[in-house]
Amino acid sequence: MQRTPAGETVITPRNFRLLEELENSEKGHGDMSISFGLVESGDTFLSDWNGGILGPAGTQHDGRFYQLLIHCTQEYPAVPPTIRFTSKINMSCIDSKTGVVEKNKVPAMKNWNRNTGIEKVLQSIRMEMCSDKNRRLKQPAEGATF
Amino acid sequence: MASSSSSSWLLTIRISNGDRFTINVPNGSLNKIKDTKLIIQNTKVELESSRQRLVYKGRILDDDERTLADYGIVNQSTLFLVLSAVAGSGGGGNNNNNNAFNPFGGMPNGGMPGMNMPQPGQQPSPEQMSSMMNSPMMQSLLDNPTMMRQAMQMSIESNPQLQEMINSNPQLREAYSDPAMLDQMIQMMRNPDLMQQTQRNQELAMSQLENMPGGFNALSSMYHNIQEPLMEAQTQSGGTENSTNTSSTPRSTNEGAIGSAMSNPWGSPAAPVPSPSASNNNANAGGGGAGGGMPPPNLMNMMNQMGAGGGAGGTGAGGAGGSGMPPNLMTMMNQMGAGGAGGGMPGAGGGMPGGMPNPDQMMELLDNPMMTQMMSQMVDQNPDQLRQMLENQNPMLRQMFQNMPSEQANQMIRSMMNPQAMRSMIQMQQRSGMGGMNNASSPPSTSSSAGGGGGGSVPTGGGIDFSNLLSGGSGTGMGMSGGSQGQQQPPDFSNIMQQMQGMMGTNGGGGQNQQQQPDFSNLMQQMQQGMMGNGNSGGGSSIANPWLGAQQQQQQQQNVQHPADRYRNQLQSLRDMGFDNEQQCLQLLQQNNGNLNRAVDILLMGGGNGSGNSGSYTSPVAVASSPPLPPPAPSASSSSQQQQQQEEDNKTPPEPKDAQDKKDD
Repeated sequence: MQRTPAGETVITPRNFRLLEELENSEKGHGDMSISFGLVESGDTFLSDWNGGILGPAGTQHDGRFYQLLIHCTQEYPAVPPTIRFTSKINMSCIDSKTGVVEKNKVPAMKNWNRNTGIEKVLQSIRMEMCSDKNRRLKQPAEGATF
Repeated sequence: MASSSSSSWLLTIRISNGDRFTINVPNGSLNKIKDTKLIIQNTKVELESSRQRLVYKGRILDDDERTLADYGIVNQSTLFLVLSAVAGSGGGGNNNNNNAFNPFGGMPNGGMPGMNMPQPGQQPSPEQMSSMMNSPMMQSLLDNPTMMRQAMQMSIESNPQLQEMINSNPQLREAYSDPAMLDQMIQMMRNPDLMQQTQRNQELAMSQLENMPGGFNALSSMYHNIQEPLMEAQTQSGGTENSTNTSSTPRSTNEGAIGSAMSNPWGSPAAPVPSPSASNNNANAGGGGAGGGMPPPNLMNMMNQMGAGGGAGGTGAGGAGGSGMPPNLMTMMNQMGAGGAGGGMPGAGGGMPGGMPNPDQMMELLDNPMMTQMMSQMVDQNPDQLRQMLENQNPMLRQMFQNMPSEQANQMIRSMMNPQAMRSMIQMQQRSGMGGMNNASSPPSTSSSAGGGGGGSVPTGGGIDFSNLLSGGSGTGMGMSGGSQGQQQPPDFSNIMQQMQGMMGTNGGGGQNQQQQPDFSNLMQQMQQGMMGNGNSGGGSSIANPWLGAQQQQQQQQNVQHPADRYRNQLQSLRDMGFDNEQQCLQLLQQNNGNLNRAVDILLMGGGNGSGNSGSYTSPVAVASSPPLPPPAPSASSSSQQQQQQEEDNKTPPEPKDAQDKKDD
């Protein structure tokens, strides 16, 4: 949702919005510690994305690269995407059996609005890795998958 | 696709520190991942291909045998590059040392050896300690948990032995990264009472442990498994860096401290319950290991590294073992604050004899933006405190500051702390060939220079050279310190001065160096002389400046005696240009004070045909001042000619009269 100079609100359509995000991620703009892109570059619906999060330094996740899948439904960006980790990870906001990220435990997904975007969600998850309850959790061997 | 597969691709690689660069990939899509990694390695040598993890669109390109096209990569894509510490991606858990994300990556690591424990008696009292900890600067530092953590991380990363230790003892790692622990520790340091209490508690816990069956064994195994290697790790990192360091005492001091602190209780089973005093010593070290309280020494160590790139090596551990944290904290403060980042004012030898950090490390450190920021903050916020610190550590400085209005003193500190100034000082020091490490040679000169400075007490180790340098650099400051220079000039000092002359004046000539200056004022004169220009500059200046009169004349005589030496370089150049007549050249050089260009001009204008009649070439100056001057008699010997010429040059005022006389003749 953006505002024009005249004060009207413009609702960016889903695909425009996702194309924008795609462009930003492929050009390598933004945060270096996360990365995402379409699973199939020919996916006209821009639904399924790969994502990766580099574990923050000073935590158990330090130096690891976690991979995940992002699915944007047709309602996106009105609702947050669903995210599932493929790399095995032990975190309070992630289902320990399926690797699905629990939306109500990640701030950016809990307080979702149309401007949040995939990048912010991944960053938010990364921040969670630094939180007191997660930073010292024992992690499975690197490379294990759900 | 077919067309692009045969052409070469441009790929942008982004590294985790934000840098990006492009690589040229021949064969485009057919290029295998492993080849791409090699190309990256060839572009940036530090990025070993085995450590590279390439990420594209959230996917790790982990199959080296697949091609770029297999991963859907197209021309002009951007790949993320993440380095892993272990070759391959399957590394073992904790072991991943993520250099790329270390914001202090550029910081020197490893222990700086000389950073030794403060000597006994120099340990700050609890009051001092708490006042230090409560200072706003320190608090803001400590209140920043991220920074502390990062610094901690850094200290771990920079010490492989420590890393190994931590990997084999997961609890230790937890202790290291527990913010609560850090907080507690800092709290403890701030509050002397709390600290004493903690110490008592540990003591108590220790003796209780020892009284339990098996407790003794547990303790001693803890000591062997954790404490010892840890100490070793730290001590070694301290020792290796500076094998030339002559101060072997500090290390043995540490070891002594460890020894007395640790080996006692379980070293002699006959006396399982140590005497109260002994256990007091033990409390910290042993209890540290037991209670997970190990971080303190390491925290200190880390702070050291942060502050001055010189880990206190064994000091941190040893100090803690012996007598609690204060000494370490002190060391840290030394390095961070007053140490003026160590190198800045190593003269501040107080707590760290021989603690002159490696100049290179210093330079690197000074380039670190964090350090710069910290220093400027420190300097801006509490110059008084800084000053106090400096004064405490360097009696000479104290003296100096006392003779100055406080505003001026603060100003001076500020300028001393200016990173650029520090950098140039360090460079100067390096150039003057007395690396800070060279403790061995300085002690003899130490006493004399310190005495000269009027401080009275003897600064230690590497500090000396520097304080000399400093006072040399701000000559007036030195003068202020009482001018009571000792009878002998410390050799280092005069060397520096000479060097300075060399830098400032054009005349590096032999004359000055031959006399050892008996006192400081003379030295200053020489310096001035150096600055004024070279000793042989025309008579005008030598007359105009009463300062220089006598000395310069003396020098001139020397110059006259060795003109060929003096202008050897220029002569050589002239010879190379084809002006073979040495005497003619020499004379012209002398007339023009060694100005090669002028001499060449004259030679060319006058058609230097190599005739012996050098007198016919007069400098433009001479022509202007005395047009009717006839050529000197051809019979005059060359040396007397030169002398004549010289004298004429020097006595410009009476010259017309001479000319008049000659006219009359």
